[in-house]
Amino acid sequence: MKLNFEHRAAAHCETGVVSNLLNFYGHQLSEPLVFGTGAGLYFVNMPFVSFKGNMMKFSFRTLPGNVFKQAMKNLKIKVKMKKRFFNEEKAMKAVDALLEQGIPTGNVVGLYFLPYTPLRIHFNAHHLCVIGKEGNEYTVSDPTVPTLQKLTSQNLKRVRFSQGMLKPRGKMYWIKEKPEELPIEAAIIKGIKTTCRKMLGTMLLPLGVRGIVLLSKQIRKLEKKYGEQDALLFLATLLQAMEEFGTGGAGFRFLYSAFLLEAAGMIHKPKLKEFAAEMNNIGDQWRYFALECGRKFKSRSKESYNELTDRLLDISNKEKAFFAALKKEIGNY
Amino acid sequence: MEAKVNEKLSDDTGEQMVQYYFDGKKWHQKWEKRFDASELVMTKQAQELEIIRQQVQGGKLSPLSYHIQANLFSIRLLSSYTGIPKRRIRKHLKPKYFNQLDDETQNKYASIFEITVDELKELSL
Repeated sequence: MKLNFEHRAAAHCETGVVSNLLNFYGHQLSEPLVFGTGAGLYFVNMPFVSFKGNMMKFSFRTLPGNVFKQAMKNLKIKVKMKKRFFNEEKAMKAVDALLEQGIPTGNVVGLYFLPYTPLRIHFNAHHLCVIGKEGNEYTVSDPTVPTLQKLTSQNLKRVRFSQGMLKPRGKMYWIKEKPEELPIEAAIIKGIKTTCRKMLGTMLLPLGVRGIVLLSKQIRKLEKKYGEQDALLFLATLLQAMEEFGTGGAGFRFLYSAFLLEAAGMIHKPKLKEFAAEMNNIGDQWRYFALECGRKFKSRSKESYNELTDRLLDISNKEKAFFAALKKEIGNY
Repeated sequence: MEAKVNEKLSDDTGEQMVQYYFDGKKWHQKWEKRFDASELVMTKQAQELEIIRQQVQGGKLSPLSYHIQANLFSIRLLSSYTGIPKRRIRKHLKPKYFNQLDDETQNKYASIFEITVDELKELSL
């Protein structure tokens, strides 16, 4: 049995899954729009995770499942999310039962044991959509891969119950009722407000823009603290998180600027186009920063750690000013 | 809507060129050359693996420690996958205790690393 599900590739896994799910129910929402209404932009720096292991230390987005939750809340669609299962068999039966009713489910999985990806990293925030079952084989739509893939039930079980940080524990979600009309305008404004609040952050926690400042402070002291070789390794892990695994730092900025461009037409606010251009600039700066990091450990660059820090501080100042201005702009609306 | 959101990065050294563009409906991502960050990390891991391999050959460590490093696991991760306490896994890193393992535990380790029991016991060095 296989559902009539259109598979579309996307830049980022979770927003891709959500926009594919909405497309299944007959609503054409693009990927940046889902990302914006779901308030997916964030920055998390986890100083307590070692950079030498094979774990994620930096994150440029919210926790897995949060984009779906926020977007559906803002768009007022009735959904169901099962946070965890204690029994692995029951978790697989739940997917089968929903498939028989003709409902595709989104799943949170770990990357390490996925057979069709070359990445060997313990990262438990990947998303995919289960859309069909034949005998012992599941058909799976993974937006980061151009075609449909097949997984055996044993593989799917292992991937859904992967271990490590942020265990998925069989987390899954689906849309309960077919939505009639979507309040897109209100959802866009709510999404922008939430993003501004998250990025500007609280005084106590180093999240959002304050996380970038904390990271820049760490980079200034790198060589003193870890020595020459390990300092380069730290930069390498940062670069992996920024550019190599998934969408990364600059990619999310470009996604967000695409969202602002689309939103400007939808809520009739042409000034958002200027904000989109500014966001694009910030994304470019992230990419240049990544490029300088790359040159650093190929010993082609003469830039010291202090100069790298200044680059990052510059980015953080710009983002702070950007979100403060955006908050003011939207608040009057 | 603008055709390109981000233009090509002009880079004189030619280390990498990335293109992200948005054509109104779809989001395209194109890699022309990659960063070498993974390469650096992987050579570092390979160096550590080489040291452990020599220790296994010298009889100081058990083959289990080699497999943990080769598959990029940690003791804590292995413990949560297999259900064996961390303290006992640390014990199994010594050859004396590794040789006394029963079949059940051996199968558990082998299934996690996706190898046979014979491959677990003897490294093809």
